Amino acid sequence: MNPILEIIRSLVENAGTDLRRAVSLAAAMAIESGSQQEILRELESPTNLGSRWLRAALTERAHGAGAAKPLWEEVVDQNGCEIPDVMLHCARMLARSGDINGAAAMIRIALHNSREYDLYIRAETVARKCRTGFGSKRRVKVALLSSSTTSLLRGVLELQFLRDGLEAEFYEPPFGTYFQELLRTDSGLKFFAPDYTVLLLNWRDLGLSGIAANGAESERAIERVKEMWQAAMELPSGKIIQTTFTPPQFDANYELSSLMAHGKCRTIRSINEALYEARGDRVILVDCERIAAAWNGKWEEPLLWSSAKVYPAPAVLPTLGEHIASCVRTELGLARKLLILDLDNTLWGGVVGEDGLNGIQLGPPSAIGERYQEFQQYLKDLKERGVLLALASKNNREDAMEVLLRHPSAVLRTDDFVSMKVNWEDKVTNIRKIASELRLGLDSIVFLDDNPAERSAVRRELPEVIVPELSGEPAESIAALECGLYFQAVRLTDEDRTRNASYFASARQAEMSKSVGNVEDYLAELSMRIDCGAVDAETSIRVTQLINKTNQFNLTTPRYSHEEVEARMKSPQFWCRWYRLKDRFADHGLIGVLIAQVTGKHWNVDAWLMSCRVIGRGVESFMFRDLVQFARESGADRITARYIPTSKNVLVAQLLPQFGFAETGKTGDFVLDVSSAKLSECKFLREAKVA
Amino acid sequence: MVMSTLLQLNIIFQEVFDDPQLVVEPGTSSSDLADWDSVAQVKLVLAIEEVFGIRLSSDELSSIHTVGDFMTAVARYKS
Repeated sequence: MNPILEIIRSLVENAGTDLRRAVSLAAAMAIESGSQQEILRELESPTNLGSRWLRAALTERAHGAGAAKPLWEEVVDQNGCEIPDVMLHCARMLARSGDINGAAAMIRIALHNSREYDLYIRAETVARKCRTGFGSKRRVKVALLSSSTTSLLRGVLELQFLRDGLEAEFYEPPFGTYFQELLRTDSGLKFFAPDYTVLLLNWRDLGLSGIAANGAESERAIERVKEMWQAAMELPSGKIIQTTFTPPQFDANYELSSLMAHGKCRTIRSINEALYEARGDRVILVDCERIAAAWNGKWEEPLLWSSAKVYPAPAVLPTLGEHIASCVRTELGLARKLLILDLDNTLWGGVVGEDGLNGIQLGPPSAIGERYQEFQQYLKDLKERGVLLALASKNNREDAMEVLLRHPSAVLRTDDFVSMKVNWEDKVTNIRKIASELRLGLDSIVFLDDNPAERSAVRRELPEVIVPELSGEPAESIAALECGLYFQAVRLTDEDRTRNASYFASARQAEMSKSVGNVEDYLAELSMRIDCGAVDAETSIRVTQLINKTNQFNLTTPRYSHEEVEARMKSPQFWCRWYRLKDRFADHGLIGVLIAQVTGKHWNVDAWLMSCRVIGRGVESFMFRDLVQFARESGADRITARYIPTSKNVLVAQLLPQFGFAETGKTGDFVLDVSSAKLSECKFLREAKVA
Repeated sequence: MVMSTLLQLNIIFQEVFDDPQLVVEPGTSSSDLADWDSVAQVKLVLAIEEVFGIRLSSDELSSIHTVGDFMTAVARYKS
């Protein structure tokens, strides 16, 4: 084989992480050596991402965008994840062919899935050309006041705002004039009247000594920042977004910088603390110490500070921009509200329908299981502060519910979800249904799924929904979800904490109101499972409890002690049964009791009662059928029963006639001829072991 | 090597300025391209550092004015 082909091939196949660079190099080499056609023949059945990428790139050069388009669509990584660089390239092609909307949609996805500054640089110009394609509905005016160069940050923010449907107008005062701009009454800033004033300062502005003699420097610095806030607040309606200070990476005082009361590092922390205390309603602080910690020494680039006054390092800008943009989003009410989750390989490892309750990976001792459990805890924490969780999963409902109800390591339980669409319908339909049930817009939804095909379908059909890429590696799920800061909040109210409960109730009500229109559909959707058995030592306590506290659905309202129940349970003269019910919302546990006294061929109903929580589900029909079947088997010819009215049990006044019992003439006494009893079908109650 | 460096630089320039028709030569300077301002300069440097996997020095940062200067800088690291 031609040695150059060999080189080019091994270049893209062994490129590792920096694939874009390798492909660009390989393409340049192919063109330079004039071996494009030969390489393309070589790459007819590409084996990995690098060769698929190269094939698309060379095809585009040789045969044009049209021929390359289907090839570009195949360029996804081994986990099926979209490559932001490739999406950006496709956006460029679409933009050139005049499809501005298509290009904007691609750029949006690329920007949602990348925090690489390199990508932002390359996206800037093409995004501006496609500006109208983003369909921005709102305008926002942002002033960037900083002791550093703001134009790089501005480029990043502009892209992030465009992506989020915001047309931003920026004001950047001349370098080095931010303080005067704030204080002067006739400045460009005052004329601009920003909605948001971003104040990006750094430790150099504080003028701190290595170890100061006293707290004077610190107090002066705090006063200066407050003075700026004061001035910014004189602007008509604006809010201030202030970044906190980070200690310099290098400090000749080493640990002393924090150990000494007035060491630089400690002083910077105390300044931040003072700013948090003093901030009030109109100032939002972005915690840069936390961001810097995650960037591990890469937060600043001394060289670029000296040559171009760039702060922080360009690589950090997309992350910092995301923090700022997310604060603006949440202030405008554009933060996402609802997270819709898949189950298998998203909330636990494995497929419950195949691996079973005990076969899936969730919780220790499996390392992967621990990652999934930690992810569930993270989601639970989101829920606790007001983010709504819902499920859209292709699964047998029973299998999925079993995990949520019974798995010992599951953190998320059925009542953590405001809606659960666990069925075999497509995800797009289910997401639409959840949105309309909760009366939320699609633009308040984030959807998380490990399956690239599902993600792609949702992105295509529901572009308003944000669909983060998941690598399938549970250790990366939290990062993939958090990096977009979709659920940013800058204050926490009691309402946030209880939001889930109220949505849960309203979702249930929506279900209920549907039942007015169509009871059968409602009952069918509940996926009820009923279980029954003879009262035994284990169930007798709960049976006693139910007998004594049930008022509404209680035919004779007996009140028996535990001993009395046990006596009946053990006596051959009594037939004692319990009933359990479970549905997709909950396991209701033991909810029904039916006891009959048997005297030869005569059965007499001694107790018939049911918990009010499951009234209207048709459980009584099931109980009636159970009774008649046993009576028949024992050779009984008649069943008698009595309705004893109380102030609360009018609900069951018609129960006996409804099942064909005839009045005996004595008020409240009924009789049923066992042979002619009609047993109704209980089609919505599946008989199955509940526990 | 020189050729492929120029080819790659050309791709970077095309991307940063979003102009697929843009052709740069070693002699192309910041005064030839209207969009090549100080912000673009930083972006070009960052993109070039990324693509070639290099880190330019303070000296180079302040002395780069033409495509040829970039080529020289890249060559220094690649030799």
